Amino acid sequence: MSQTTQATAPAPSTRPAPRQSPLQRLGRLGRLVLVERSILLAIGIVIVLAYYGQYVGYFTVGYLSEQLTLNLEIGLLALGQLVVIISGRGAIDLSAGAMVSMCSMVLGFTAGLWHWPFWVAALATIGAGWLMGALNGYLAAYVGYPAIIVTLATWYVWKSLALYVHNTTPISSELPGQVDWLAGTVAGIRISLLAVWLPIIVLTWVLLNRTLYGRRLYGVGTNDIAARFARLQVARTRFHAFAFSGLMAGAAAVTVTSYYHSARADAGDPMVLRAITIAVLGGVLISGGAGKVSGVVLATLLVAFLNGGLTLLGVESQYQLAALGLLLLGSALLNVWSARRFGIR
Amino acid sequence: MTATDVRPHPGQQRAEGTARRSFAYGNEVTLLGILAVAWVALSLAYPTFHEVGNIQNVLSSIAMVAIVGVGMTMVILTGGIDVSVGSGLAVCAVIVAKYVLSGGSVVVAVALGVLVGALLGAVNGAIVAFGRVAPIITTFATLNLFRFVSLQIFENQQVNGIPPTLSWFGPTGRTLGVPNAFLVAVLLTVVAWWYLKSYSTGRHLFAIGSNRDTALFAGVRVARREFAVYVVTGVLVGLASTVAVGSGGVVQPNIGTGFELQVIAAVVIGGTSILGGRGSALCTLLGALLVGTLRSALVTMGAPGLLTDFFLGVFILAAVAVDLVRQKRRSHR
Repeated sequence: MSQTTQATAPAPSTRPAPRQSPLQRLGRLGRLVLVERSILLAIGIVIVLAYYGQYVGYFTVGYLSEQLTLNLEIGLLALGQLVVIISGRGAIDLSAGAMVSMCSMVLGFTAGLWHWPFWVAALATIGAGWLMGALNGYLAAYVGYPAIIVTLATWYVWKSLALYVHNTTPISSELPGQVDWLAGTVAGIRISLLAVWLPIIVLTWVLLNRTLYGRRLYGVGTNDIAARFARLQVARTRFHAFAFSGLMAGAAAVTVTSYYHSARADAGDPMVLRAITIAVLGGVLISGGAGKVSGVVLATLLVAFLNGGLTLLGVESQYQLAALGLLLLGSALLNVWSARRFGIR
Repeated sequence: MTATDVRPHPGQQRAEGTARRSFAYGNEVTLLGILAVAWVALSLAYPTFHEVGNIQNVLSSIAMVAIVGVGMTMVILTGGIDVSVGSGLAVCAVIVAKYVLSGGSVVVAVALGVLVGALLGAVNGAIVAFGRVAPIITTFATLNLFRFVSLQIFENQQVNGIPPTLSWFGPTGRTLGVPNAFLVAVLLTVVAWWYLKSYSTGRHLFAIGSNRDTALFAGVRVARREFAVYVVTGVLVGLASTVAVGSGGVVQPNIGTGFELQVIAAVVIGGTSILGGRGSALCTLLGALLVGTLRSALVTMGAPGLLTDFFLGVFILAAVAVDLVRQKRRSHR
């Protein structure tokens, strides 16, 4: 086999390339667009920008970065979902939004009511997020709970606890002014985008593509039985995936609390649907083992710019909820269909 | 579909004589034991607990959970899950409420609720069974879509002054002192138990949940069965909505939020395996009773209402832990 390819390798210069009919070429293009989700999303972003660009005040650095800031937390949670879903066996983190709410209350208590220095409080918040994610991970990976039932249960556990700890009232006026630091701007772009989102995207990319852990994660997600025979630490890999999602929730809680200067017990409520929608739209397959950081980031941009356009046109947020639900169904169907059609996992 | 069924689990080894062994399982006995202990302990500690009025309240409050739990048991048996039942309940309830408000009759109101529920279930079922999208993704999306639909029909305000047309289903409708809605739940449970035990299509649900591919090769019409269980769940959600509207008065736009958690709690506390392939409708009824007892006990003991979901979540985790231990023990045998 390898010999024949070597033998024919120098030949092509003498033989003309096989002619393709336009239809075949279109088919190959279509395949490329469906297999490489980034291309589809990039096209989508260009269309959205071009369409809403006709409205005054849309295509400006200030407005678009504002829209990104509003979707920053969701982008972070979507990266968490990416890592969790890759780990396989139908894993998904339904509790991410509730963890944000709980972490937001942790920041409210530590920075606001107990007057800890802001950086210590922020670290404590992220630590709390890690702990909550680690609890999910421990139950799902080591004890063997199905991920859906663990995160469904912890979703309501944290949601209810977050409402209880400060009796549903937000903690706002007690928060120190330092909290607003992340909400400042540099050249019209929010500091939180540059100081939180960008580094985390890069770190996640490095984690998934340039570390042993990342390779293990894809391996475990693709086939965990084969991974066990290859002596990969399956449970440990899964555990860290859930803990990572908790870390993202902690970071999201810090940015959302600093953005609104208010620690709210319902801060994370609408975030889960968006995060999961973005992950699925970004081409992450729910069966595990497949998904890219680039897809998730582009999907975040697409949803943020789309939301921005709808907001500019004064579309009610209720309709945006419906649009997200439809988008989730549509992209899930697209994933299933293109996976079956083209055999990508 | 997700490859969640790689792990061999006990359902596969119990292929023959499962119908008989489902009773020898001991789940029903264990649950009844826990229920009895809980009731005796609570009655001794709080004399108000075993008053007839409180028992009637518990029974009527769990009726909706138990009714939808029958469908949810079937869905979870096939290895699926339906988290959209709470929003589906809101859609059905607002439509039924508005119809009753306009002076409709009982029969048509029930038929309307059931029909709308079936339609919503068919949406879920079609996407899961024929579109092959993971059940959790599908129903999570429809959870939000149905909520949107219900808010549109509510027009963002509560429905007031509903006449007690459907009071037969409500908390005040009783036969021999037992709430009618609870009797309906018992009847449905027995029917479902009989169906799951004695009909080949019922047995197919266990086969699908144990191993979908094997069931497919054995000639089970998997997609059709999967579609059917979501439609059945939808129908039962429609029926439950008549219970919700039953007493008349007011229906709030937030009706049904968190309802899915109660239903899923009842199913898994009843010992139905969330991995699919193992479970029983009778156990779900007992699970619903246990959930109702827990909620009533929390109120009696004066626990803050905000923490109800907290305890429910912890309860689910504990119940699944018991199931996991049992499975591990059996697979080591």
